[in-house]
Amino acid sequence: MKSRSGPITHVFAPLRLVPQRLAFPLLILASVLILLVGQFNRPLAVHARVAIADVVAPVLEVIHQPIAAGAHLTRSLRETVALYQENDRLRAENATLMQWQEIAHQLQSENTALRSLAHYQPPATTFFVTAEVVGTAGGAFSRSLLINRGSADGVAEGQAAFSGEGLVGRIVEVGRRASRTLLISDLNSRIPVRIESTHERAILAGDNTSEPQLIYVPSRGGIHVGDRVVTSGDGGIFPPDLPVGIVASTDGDSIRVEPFTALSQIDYLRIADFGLSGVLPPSAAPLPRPAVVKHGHIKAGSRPR
Amino acid sequence: MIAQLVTLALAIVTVIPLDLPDYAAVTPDFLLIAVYHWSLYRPNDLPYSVVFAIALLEDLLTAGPPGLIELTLLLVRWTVLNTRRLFIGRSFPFVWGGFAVTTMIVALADWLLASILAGAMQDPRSVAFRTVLTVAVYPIMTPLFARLQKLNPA
Repeated sequence: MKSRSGPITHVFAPLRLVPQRLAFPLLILASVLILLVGQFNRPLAVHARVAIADVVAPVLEVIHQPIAAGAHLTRSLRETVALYQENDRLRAENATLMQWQEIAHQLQSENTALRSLAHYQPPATTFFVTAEVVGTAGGAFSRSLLINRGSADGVAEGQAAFSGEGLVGRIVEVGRRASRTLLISDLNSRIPVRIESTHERAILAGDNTSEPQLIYVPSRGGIHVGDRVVTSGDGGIFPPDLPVGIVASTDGDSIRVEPFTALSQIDYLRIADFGLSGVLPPSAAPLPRPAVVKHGHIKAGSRPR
Repeated sequence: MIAQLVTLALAIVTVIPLDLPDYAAVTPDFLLIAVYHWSLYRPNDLPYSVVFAIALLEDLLTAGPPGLIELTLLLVRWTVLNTRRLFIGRSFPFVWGGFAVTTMIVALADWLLASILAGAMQDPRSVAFRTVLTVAVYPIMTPLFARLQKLNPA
């Protein structure tokens, strides 16, 4: 071994050993403290993470550019090879979709007519912002994505994150230029959903696998493989009817849902604010406004009869 | 200095998304490789304080259970320092075997602790895959470390 490089090392080696001896127990203590504080003081951990994410996100964004370009290149090469079959498939799909489009048009006009009859107010989406995924959780125990948009772009906690295909997760930590999206597959994710066809309600619970489970299902009989799962709007986190996934398996105790989006291969996300504060900040939930009927007589706040 | 820079770079590389299915869950534990390697061959180049600082950065970036990475890597460095005599001068497969055992112990401990903290058994599959990938990547990483080390002035 020729790791010793000169007389200087001999002089400093014993000196260096002193702080090293102390460093180990002190730093172990610090780690255990972080472990405990992280468990019992979540907001502090979130603050620290957001601060670091803000600093590192621009760096990650730069590093991610060539990787994204490389991935794009390999994907386009792969697609070129499969171009003919893809073309045939798309033509067939297009024919089917044209029929659906026809149906959609009919339904839309019917819907508009019915809405005007019922004085229906469509849920207002205040804004959309597109974000690039610059970091992943990089571990076995959580499923989240770091994105390059933060409060400076209007992103706020509790907003919904989508891909083109469907719901991906929600925003849980927000910095100025970066934020973290908790994926629907994460252990801590609970999304109120329903089966689209039967209106059967359930909670979509992540368990760190790629297919989250349906829990609190009132009756199992009504759920079949292939059923579409959409948000139910319960709890006020998300508006109803956002596409989530399809039922992938119903063996034994667990009903698993395959998300429409391949959660491990997301490049870009759309963040939407539906103007719903939801159950996240309990104190901030808006109280139901009493309906004000015509003029006079009934004051705002009193109960209309 | 090189050791510290490389380890820092690896902490950031770990969170970079690659366009591979389920890569995020099974990303090799690059930091473990770096800490094991340098604790074995150049312990002075990567002291406890630096290991802690880089682990803390990684911890904040990955949003896992806070403190777990710091604790793990400090203990790995300590263990390697105290068993160095067994490994120095031995053949590569022997050192690799030592790393494999270390990785498995770390994975098991991480899995247990994460399960306790979450209050539910965690899916062991991604941990198992991650362990296999980490051990598999070791022989690719360490020659790179050795080459980069040569750039180190003195």
